[in-house]
Amino acid sequence: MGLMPAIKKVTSEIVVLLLIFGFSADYYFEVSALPSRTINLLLIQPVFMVIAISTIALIFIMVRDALRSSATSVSVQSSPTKDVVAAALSDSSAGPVDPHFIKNGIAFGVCTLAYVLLLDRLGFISSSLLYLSILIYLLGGRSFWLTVVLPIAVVGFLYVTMSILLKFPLPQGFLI
Amino acid sequence: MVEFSSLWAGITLLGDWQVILMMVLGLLFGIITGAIPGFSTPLAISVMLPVTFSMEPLAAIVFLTCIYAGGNFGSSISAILINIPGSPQAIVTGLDGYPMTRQGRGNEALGFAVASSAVGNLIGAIFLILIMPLLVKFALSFGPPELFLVGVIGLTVIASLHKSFLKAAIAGAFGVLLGTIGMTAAGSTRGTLGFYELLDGVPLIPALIGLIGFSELFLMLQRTYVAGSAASNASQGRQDLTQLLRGFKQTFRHPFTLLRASTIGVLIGGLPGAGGTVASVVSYNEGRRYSKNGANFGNGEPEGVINAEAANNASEGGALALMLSLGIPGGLATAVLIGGFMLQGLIPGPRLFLDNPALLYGVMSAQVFASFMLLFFGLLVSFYAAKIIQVPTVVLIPLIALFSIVGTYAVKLLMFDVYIMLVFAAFGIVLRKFDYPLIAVILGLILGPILDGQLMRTFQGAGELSLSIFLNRPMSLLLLGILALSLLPLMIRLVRGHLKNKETVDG
Repeated sequence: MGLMPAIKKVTSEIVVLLLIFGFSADYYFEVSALPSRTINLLLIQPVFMVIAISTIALIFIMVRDALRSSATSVSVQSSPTKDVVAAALSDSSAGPVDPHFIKNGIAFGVCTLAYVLLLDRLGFISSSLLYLSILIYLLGGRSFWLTVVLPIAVVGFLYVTMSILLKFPLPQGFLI
Repeated sequence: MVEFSSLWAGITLLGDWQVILMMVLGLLFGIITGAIPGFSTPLAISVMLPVTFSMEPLAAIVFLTCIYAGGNFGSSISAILINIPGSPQAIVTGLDGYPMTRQGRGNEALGFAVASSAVGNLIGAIFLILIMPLLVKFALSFGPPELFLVGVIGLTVIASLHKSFLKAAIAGAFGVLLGTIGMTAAGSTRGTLGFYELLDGVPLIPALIGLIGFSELFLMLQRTYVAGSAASNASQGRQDLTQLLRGFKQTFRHPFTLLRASTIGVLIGGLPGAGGTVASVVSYNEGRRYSKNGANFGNGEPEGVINAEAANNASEGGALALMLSLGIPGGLATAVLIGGFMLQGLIPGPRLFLDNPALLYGVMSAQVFASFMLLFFGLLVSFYAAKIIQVPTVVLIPLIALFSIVGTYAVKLLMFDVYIMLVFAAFGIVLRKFDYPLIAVILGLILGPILDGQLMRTFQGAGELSLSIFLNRPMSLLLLGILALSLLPLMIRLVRGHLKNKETVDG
């Protein structure tokens, strides 16, 4: 395998590294341009150097390992999903992997984003009830208890605890 | 020496019914969530963090530390019953606990775990009360250069945490940069991207909840039940109270094992980055060496459970001592606990001990009382354990998500904090996917402002910045020695890795 295919194999890892490095570099140059440069850069300069050197070294090692592994053996091709699954399994617990992971992941992400955006527009009670019911349904909960009773109980508990007992003003929108 | 007047004042504060209630609730919440695989102790603390905002400081801190204590024990329940530890620190408990379950002695193993956890926790708490004044006295002699070095030592933990040093270094350094965002002492604004909400820095609580809690939900999404079908096997004879009590009583026939394991736990728990997992592994190995039943370790030997659990729970005392006296989080759980202190306007460190001795003695004494409570609530939850570990993710994930979002909002009543939490959640998912250690970023976030401030004070005090500032101060020199020692394992690992690599290429 040549250099480019080897780099392709670790592209996503390199992209993440470059994003972290890019943000750090942008931050470093922003601070460099500030008045009292010496004081502002006291810590940031060495820390940025650590990131820069480590990024270069890590990219070099990743490409080298990719080249080596392709040269020595026919490795099993991994996919991002497999990587996530493997990482999760090696994490701390090892239950069976849900085959609907990607669908569930998208459902969770979209529902959560929508909930956060609607929270202060619709109001806490209505948006939270919708969020819980829809999310539980999309994740596979079908019973009346799970999709209706549980959300009402949880949202009711949170409302009573936060808003009435602890006097936290929860977001209020045009609904409740 | 222990200040008995402050100690007594602290104990008196615990007489408040609200504090007692919070201890009970914290322990129960910690044990129950700890028993659910995937619901790690840091996650449990982070979910409850915002709830403590409106509480009195003592009730709030005691609530969180009791979740910590409960979670340390709770994670052993699923390790024993289904061989899936609730948190990594219970992995070793499963080595003998699960074989005992397979032999039909699961409840006996739980009895051993409850008793040894409570004893470990108690010894850890006593150690904490005794050692704190000494550590504080030591820390009070520190000036800015020493405080800077303490922060650096805290960061070197990162090196020992992860198989890839480079990834850990990048994550830690990036965390430090994030920690310096906001208004500087020189009056400049750094990295706020125009958001005035970031002038005070990246809000720590939303960042912690996003990185630790919310990102973990994506891992949970991969499973229908975190515990899986193995949980149903755990129900065999689950309500055998006699067996539970037998294990409980027999634990106290091993006083030396309990003492040795707890001592190991306390000492290792006090090392930054080591934590309960390392403590239980070392204690288990030592236990196998000393026990006359050493050959039976791994095959359902009760002493194995005692060694692992006592050390795991005692490590909490060491970790709290480090966190309270120097403000260094030894691990994820103590990092989130620092967030709990900050929510109450308290900064862990030697000054806190001087300014609020009664409060701190109250927190430490609460751990002693929590140990006795753990005996009762541990048995109670163990009795119904098989039902708890079977909570499906379809229920767990939406509930944790809702609590995290509402909790994040409740801290400052700002939707901006919720957006920050989601940004850090996304960042956490990426870090987990590519195997970067989350604790490194969190340590950086917490230690970044400390390092920045102390380095600036060092510079201003000396008018320059050079190594001689650190070499000319005896305490700094000592800390530099500790720093070198803490980097030694990394150096050895790098050299070994290099040699191994060379052998592979040559071969």
